Amino acid sequence: MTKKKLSPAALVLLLAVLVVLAAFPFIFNSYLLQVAVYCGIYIMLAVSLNLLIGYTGIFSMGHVGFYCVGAYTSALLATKMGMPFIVCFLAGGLVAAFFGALVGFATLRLNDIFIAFATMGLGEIIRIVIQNATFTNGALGVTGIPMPEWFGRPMNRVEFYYMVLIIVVLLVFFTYRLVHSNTGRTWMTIRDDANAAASLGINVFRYKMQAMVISCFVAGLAGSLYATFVQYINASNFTISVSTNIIAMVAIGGMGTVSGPILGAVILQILPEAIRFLSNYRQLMFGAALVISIMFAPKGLVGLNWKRIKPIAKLCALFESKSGKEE
Amino acid sequence: MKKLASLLLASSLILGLAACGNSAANNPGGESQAPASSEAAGGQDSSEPIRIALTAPLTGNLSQYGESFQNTVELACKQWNEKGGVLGRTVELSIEDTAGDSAQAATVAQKVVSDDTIFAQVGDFNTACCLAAQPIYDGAGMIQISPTCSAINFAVGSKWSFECLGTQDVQGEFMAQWAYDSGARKVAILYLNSDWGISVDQGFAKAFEALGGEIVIEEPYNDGETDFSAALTKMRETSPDALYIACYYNDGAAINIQRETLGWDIPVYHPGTVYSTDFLSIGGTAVEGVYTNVGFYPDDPTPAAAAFIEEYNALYGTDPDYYGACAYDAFNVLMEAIERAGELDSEKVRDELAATSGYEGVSGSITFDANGDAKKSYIKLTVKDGAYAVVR
Amino acid sequence: MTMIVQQLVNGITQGGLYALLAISYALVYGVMGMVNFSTGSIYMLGAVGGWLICHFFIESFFLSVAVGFCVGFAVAFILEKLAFRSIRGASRISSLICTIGFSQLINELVALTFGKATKGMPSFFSRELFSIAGVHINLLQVVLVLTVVVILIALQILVYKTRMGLAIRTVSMDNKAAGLMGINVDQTISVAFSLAGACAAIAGLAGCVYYRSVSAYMGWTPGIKAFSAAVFGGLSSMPGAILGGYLMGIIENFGVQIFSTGYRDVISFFVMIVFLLVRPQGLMGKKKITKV
Repeated sequence: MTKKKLSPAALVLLLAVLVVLAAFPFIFNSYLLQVAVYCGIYIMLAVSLNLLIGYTGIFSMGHVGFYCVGAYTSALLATKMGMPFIVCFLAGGLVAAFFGALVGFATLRLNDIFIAFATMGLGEIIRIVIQNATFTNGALGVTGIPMPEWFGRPMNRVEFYYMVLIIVVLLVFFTYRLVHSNTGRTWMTIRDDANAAASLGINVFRYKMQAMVISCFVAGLAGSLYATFVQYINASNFTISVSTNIIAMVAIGGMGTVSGPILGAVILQILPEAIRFLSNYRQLMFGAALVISIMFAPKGLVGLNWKRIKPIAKLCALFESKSGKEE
Repeated sequence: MKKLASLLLASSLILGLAACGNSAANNPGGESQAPASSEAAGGQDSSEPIRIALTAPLTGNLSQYGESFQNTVELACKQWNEKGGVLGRTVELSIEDTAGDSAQAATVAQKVVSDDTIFAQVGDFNTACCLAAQPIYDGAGMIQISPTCSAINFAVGSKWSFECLGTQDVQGEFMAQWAYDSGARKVAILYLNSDWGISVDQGFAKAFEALGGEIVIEEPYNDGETDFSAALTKMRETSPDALYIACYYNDGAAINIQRETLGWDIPVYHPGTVYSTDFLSIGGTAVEGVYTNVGFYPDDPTPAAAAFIEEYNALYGTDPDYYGACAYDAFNVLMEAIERAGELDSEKVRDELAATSGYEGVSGSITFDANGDAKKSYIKLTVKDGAYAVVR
Repeated sequence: MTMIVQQLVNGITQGGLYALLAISYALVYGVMGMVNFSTGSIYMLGAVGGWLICHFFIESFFLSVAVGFCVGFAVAFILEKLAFRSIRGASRISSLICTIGFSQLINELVALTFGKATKGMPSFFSRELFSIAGVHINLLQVVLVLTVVVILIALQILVYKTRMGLAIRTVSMDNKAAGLMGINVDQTISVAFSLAGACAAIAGLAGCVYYRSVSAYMGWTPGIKAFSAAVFGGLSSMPGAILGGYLMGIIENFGVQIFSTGYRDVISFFVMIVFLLVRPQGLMGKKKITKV
C-alpha cells in the first residue's frame, strides 16, 4: 500500500522534473538542447526495447535495424518525395513496425539466445543492404533532410525539442498504461514462463508479435525524429554497437520497469557529455554499465535498495512526511 | 519506494546537468533563440581574443589524423599570436572532439554555433562528420573550412563551406592520367564503401573513361573487412592492367599483403590517404612499388614547407603528415581572409575567403573555385626500398 | 577454373579460422547451453598476445601460438568465474548481456592501452610454395591450415579419448545427472570454457599472422561470422561446428565472387538465419536443440 501513499510526493517530483524539462530551452544553450533531444530519442529506443527485453522476454539485438528503417523511410520520403513531416514520421514508424512483424514472424518461435543472434543478423543485413543499395543513396547517406514545417516555416530547434519532449511524455504515459493493462500482464506471464502461459490458453506467439510490432513502431518513430533532427543520415550511424548501447541503457536502468530505461538512457547519454574526460571512454562506459548492472545490480539502478544510503533514506522520509501533511 | 528513489536520482541528475550546463554556457539565458546573427560573434571589442573552433576526431579509429590536425593548428595559432595576432587581437582555439562519428559531429557543431564567442570553425577530418555538421553551420551562417573533406558533394552544399584538399574529381583526374600514361588501359577499382570511397571511385572512373580507358570492375568493400583475398581473386579474373584502390593506410597495407600472398604482381595506385609511415611498416615488402600522390612531401619541401616542417619538428619531434599540413593551411587561409576583410564580419570574411587565389600554402598552392573547393597540385610518389620516393 | 580453385584455397584458409572459433562456441554451448559473446574479443586478445611477443621478445610463430593459447585460456578462465559462476541462477539472457558487456569492455580496454591504430605483424613463412596454372599456394597458408587441423584433432582426442573429455561430454548431456555421478561439474565447465577461449585465441593469432595486422577491433566480425558458422554446422556438435566453419569460409569466398564484397557479411548472416529457421540443429547437430 506504500505505493498509494507515495504517489503525491512522486507526483510533486515528477512535476518538478517536467517543469525543469519544459524550462530547459530558457536555461540552457542549444548545445545542451541538442544533447537533450538525443536523450529523448534514446529514451524512446530504450523504452521500446524494454517492452521486448524487460516485459516479454524477447532478447532482440537487432533494435538498431528498426531504428535505421524508420530513419531511412522518413528521410527518403522527405527528400525524394517532399512529404510533410507528419507523414514521414508516421511512415517511419509504420514501415519499421512492418519490418518488425516480418522479423518477428521469422524469429519469435526460436529460443531466447537464438532470437538474439537472428535479430542481430537481420539488423546487420538491413544496414548492409541500405549501405549498398542505390535507392538509399548507398554509403553517401541522405543529406538535406528538412526540418518539419509549421505555420509556413521550418521548425526551429527549440520547437523541435518541445515536440520530442511531448512525444516522449506521451510515450512514457502510454507505456505505463500498456504494461499495467491485461496485455502487459500477459506479456509478463509469457516472460516468466512461456510454457505455463501457453497452457493457460494464451496465444504466446500472437502476444510476442504484438510486443514486437509496438516496440518496432516506436523505434521507427525515434529513427524518424533522429533523421529529421540531424538532417543527415548514413548507414554507418546504425551499427550493432547502437543496439548494445540501448541494451546497456535498459540493463543499467532496470529491465521490466517503466522508469528504468528512462533513467538508463538519461545517465548513459548525458554523462559523457557532462563530464568531459568521460567522452573518450564512451564505449568503455557502455561496456562497464552492462557488466556492472548484471553482476552487481541485476535489477538495475531502479531495483537497488537506495534506502540503505542514509541521506537518501532521509530525503525519502522527508518527502513521505511532506506528502502526508498535504493529504 | 523504489520509484521515489529513482525519481530522486533522475531529478538530481537533471539538476546536475543544469549545473554543468550553466558553467559551460557562456551566456546563460540569452541563447534560447537560435543564433541567427553571425555578426554577434566576438563583437568588435579588440581586447577580446578571436576564437576559432577546431573540430577533429581526437579519439576513435581516426584519432591519429585528429591529433595531427590539433598539432598543426595549434602551431599555426601560436605563430599568428607571435606575429601580433589577427587585426591586433590574439587568436584562441576551442578544440572539440568528434570521434569521427557523424552524430557527435552534429552535437559538436551545435555546441560551436551556440557559443557566441566563436567566430569560425576549422574541421572536420572525414566526410561524414563534415556533412553532418554542414546544415548546422549553414543555418548559423558560420564559416566551415575543412582541411581534408574531398567528397564532391561537400563544399557545393553550402556557401559557408570550404575545403582545402581538392575534390576527388581533381585527384581522380590526376591519378587516371598517371595510370593511363604508364600504359594501363584496363583498371580494376576496389574502394571502401563510404561516402569518401564512392567519391574516389567515381572521380577516377569518370576521368579514366574520358581518357579512353576501361574500368573492368568496381568492387566496394565494407568498413571493418579484414579478408580481401576473395575480392582480389575476383578482380584478377577480369585481368586488368592496373589496380586503383581507395582505402585508408591500414586497409591498404592489408590489401597489398593479401595481393602478395596471392602472388599477384600488378601496378597498384592509391589516393593520397595511404601516405603514412604505418602503411610502410605494416605493409613491408608487399607495398613495395605501389603508387600514390601527395600534395606535400617533407623530404622534398618547398621553401614555405621547409620552415613549417622545421618548426613542427622542433615542437613535436616528428615530421608533420599531409593532412596536418592541410589543416595548417586551412587555418592560415582563414586568418589571411580575416586580415583582408579588416573586421570580424562573417559575410565579408567569407567573400574574402572565396577570393583566395594562388595562396602558397605548405600543402601546395590553394585557389578556391566557385563551390569552395580548393584546386591543388599533387606530387607523384612511389614506395622504394621501404620508403617513399618522388616519381619524376 | 583457376579462379574456382583459388577461391577454394582462400576459403579453406579463412574457414580454418572460423572452424576454430566455431568450435569455441560449440564447446561452451555444449557444457552450458550458453553463447559466449566475447569470443571475438578473446580472438583479438590472442592476436595482441602474439604481437607483443613478436614485437618485444622474439619473432617466433610457434612461441606466439603457445602464448596465444595461454592468453586465451587464462582470460576465458577468469571470464567464466566472473560472468557465469558468480551470476549462476540468473537467466541465460543475463549471462549473454554480461558477455556482451565484457566483449565491449575488453575491446575498449585494449584500444586504450594498445592503441586504436592497426599494427603490423612480421611475416612468417611468406615464400610461395608452388603455383600451378595460376593458383598460388603460400607456405604460410599450408602452415596455418596444418596448425588448425592439428589443434582440431588434439581437441577431438581430448574430448573423445580422455577422462576430462568424458566429463565434458557427460556434463553436456545433463549437468545435474553428471553431478550426481560424481563429476565435478564446476571444474568441468571451467576447463571446457577455458579450452574454448584458448581455441578462439589461437584462431586470432592465426588470423593476425595471415593478415599480418593486429587491431583492437579485429575480433568483432570474425566473432559473429563464426557464430553463424557454428549454427550452420550445428552448435551442439563439435564435428558439425568444424564443418560449418570450413563451409562458411568457402561459401563466403564464392559469394563474393558471385555478388559483391559489399554484401559479404549478408551472406553469412543469411545462412545463419535460414538455418535457425529451417534446421536449427544445423547440418550435423542432434535434433534436440532447446534447453529449457
